[in-house]
Amino acid sequence: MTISLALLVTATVLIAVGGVLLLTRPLTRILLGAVITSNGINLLLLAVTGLSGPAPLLYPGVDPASVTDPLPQAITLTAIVITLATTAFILAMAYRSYQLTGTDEVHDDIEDRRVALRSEVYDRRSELRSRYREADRDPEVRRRYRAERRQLSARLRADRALQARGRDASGDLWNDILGADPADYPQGPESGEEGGPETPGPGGNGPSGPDTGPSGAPDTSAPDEPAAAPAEPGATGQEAPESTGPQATDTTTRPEPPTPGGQAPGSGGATPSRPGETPVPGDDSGATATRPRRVVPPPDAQHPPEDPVPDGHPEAVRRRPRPQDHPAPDPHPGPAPYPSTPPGPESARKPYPRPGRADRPQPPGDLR
Amino acid sequence: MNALVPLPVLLPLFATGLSLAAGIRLKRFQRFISVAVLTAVVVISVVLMIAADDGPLSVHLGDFAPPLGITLVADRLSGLMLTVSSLVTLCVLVYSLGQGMADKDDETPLAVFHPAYLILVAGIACTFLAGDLMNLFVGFEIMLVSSFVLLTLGGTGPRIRAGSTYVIISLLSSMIFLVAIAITYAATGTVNFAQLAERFDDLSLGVTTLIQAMLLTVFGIKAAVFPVAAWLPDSYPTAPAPVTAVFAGLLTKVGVYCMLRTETLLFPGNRLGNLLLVVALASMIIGILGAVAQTDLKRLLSFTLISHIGYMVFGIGLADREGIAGAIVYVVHHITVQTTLFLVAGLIERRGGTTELTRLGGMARSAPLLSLLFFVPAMNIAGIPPFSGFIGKLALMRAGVDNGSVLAWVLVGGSTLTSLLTLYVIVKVWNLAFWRSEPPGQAAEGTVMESQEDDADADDADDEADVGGPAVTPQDDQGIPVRPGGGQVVATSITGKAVTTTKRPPRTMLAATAATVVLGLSYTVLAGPLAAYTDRSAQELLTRTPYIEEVLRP
Repeated sequence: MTISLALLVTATVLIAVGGVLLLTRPLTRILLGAVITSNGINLLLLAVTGLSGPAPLLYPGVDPASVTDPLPQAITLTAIVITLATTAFILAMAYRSYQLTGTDEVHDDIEDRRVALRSEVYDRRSELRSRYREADRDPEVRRRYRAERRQLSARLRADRALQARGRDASGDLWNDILGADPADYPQGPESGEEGGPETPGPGGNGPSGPDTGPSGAPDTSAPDEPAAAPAEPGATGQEAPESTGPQATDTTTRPEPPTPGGQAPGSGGATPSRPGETPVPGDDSGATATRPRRVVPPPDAQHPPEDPVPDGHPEAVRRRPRPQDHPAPDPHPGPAPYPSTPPGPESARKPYPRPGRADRPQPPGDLR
Repeated sequence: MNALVPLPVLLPLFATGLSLAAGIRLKRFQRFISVAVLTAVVVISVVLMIAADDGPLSVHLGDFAPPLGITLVADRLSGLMLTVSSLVTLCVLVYSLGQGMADKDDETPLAVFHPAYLILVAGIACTFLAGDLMNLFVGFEIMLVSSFVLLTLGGTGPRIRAGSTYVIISLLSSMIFLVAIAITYAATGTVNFAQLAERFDDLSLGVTTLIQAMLLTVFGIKAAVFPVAAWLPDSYPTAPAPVTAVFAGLLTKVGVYCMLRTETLLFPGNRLGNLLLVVALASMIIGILGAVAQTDLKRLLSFTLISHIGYMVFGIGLADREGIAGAIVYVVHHITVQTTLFLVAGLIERRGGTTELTRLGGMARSAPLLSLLFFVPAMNIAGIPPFSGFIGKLALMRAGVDNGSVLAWVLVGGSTLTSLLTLYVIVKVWNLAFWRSEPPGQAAEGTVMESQEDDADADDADDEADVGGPAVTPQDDQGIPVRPGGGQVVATSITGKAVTTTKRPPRTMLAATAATVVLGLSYTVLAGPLAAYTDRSAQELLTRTPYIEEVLRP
């Protein structure tokens, strides 16, 4: 059979173009790649029909053997229809992903990211080590070396805690993974503990616990709560210099018993996550009660904080402006969840807590 | 009798239409339709399996002869696969009904779980009965699109992410499949299996090997063999528990079935046998080593799944009668056992609030029935006699030893090592989740957990559940409130995605899981007939004449 070269070449080019697009990260681009590739493949199938022939007329009779082969056309139609359905589905997924995370990028698996992060951190560590060995051993250099090492370890631990929380997170990724924002509790370093991935557990509401259930409700109920899902080490790494968040991670995740397989999840829930709160007895990390808190020296002019998330890293997606960063004013403000002020004439009704940093409510006094 | 062949595909499709028409208002009717249709499919599959013992059954749809028409063929292998898969899907459907998943689907305007599930069953049946490459592709796609829907049920963040990965990889495999079909048609002028089996002999070796390699890649992606298996632990664990069970049990085995079918029917002579054996060894070892490193039960089971796919590819790679028979026995066993383990993982999640092994514990004392339901399939998959896992592994190892080549011996050693490591993994799970005493952070009964895995799972209206009391703040013995294991407990169910940990899961779920366990045990009792049937099946596959004659007879 003779196959048209033009169709073959076009099909090959289209498949190649689509294949390259399939390797990108945004889901819309992947979809475009899928569509272009399937177009190429459909052309390939069409090319298989061989030369075109006369129309399949019964009267006046046309020799059936010279008519164009109908079977590949049927196959092509089937393929087109299937591609259409898959395209529609991927579009819906891309939009949903955009609704949830503000971007339609396909993020890595948490496990894969952990492995990649660990290898990167180890590389940096060995590089630091070799640099340290060559440099003068004065206390300044030593302090800087240790600070950088600590930041790297903190980054690893943050990611481990993220892993642990990612496994048993609730539906609200913002609260689970980022926890309450340190900017929301501008009381100082103690209350700034919450920043960072240490904030726990329980449904991730900042100050919710088993006893403040209903008050924790509105924070997680907004269905379009921004969820900067996998960019947390980036976000927390950014906040590390300004808050002592990672130190909370440091103090609380160390006493985990080593688990087989090396994955040490943050057994976070049993550990103190409230600023200044003594760890409750009965949890498995009772040793944290007396562990002193270490403080990373804040970065000064000579030692700018290292940027743990360089641009272009998949975790940097967090930095892109999301629609949730500029929330529209809420047309139906509800009552403030806490501290619950009675709606008197003089107390203005606070707007419903929206996913913006300025709106975050203060934790009640007993949890500070 | 030949008229029965299209029914396993048609009945679920018809029931999907009825189910969608019933919609969310007639939930009882939806449930009844699903269960009734799947039971009918089970019965028809058993009839087909018994009837196929005398020779393959075939039907030309619309009475169009090949190559122009679609042919559905039910031979012994198809009948056996259909029976096992329909039994397993029925059990998983009952499990999910018990979980109330379909009913509490308040996120979606339509209750899509039942229709999507039925389409999945139809797609699987279409794949098992397909008599040509294009129909195989269509069956694949029916299965895949419904699996997309089931995987991303609820549209939560992690599911969309995992779903994206799964969808893209599946799309890729479908594209490669299409290219392979194009090349096949260009080379031979047909896509019908029986005609291809005749026409491939006339082709040059390069073309047939190219097509073989492409088809093996596609089916390997689907079956999750080592080089292309990374998508499986990435996407399967995030789905709801019964959905993961069905995927793990069935979708990967569809890939293995296709490998079996094409390797024996289209490409006799086993040219890529060594490659298959190497890939099998890699899957076995790397998969189980991946499982060793996990602490989450569902991920662990996903890696175990990859590892045991290696066993089946081992049998296919040997390509002699004993190897193929061993592979078929192992497929039958593994469908059942893997599904059971995932169903039990779902039950564990309900009981303990998490599948993270480091947070579980003490279930042997607090949930003895659940422990038993885990222990039996766990020993089964680890290859402990007298269970079917042992029988399957014995058959495969014997086939390897009889083959006698160096690579086969290496694989026998590798499969022994994998079996031991599987036992290690199972014992680790048993120790961490069941045998040791309860860690202090474990949630008490009746605490409401907000978990992503069991979306739409609020079973407060489910009167079969024994709720162990109101949501209380758990306390240790000094009355000091203990903050339970992190990320687990909220006092309210806000978005409706809460699951109450119960003292006893709904009876339907337990019954369905117990049914799959009993099915797995039945393979031990029926080992004789099963081995004989698979031996005849392998014989029929390797001598391709019964199949070809049945399809191409005028």
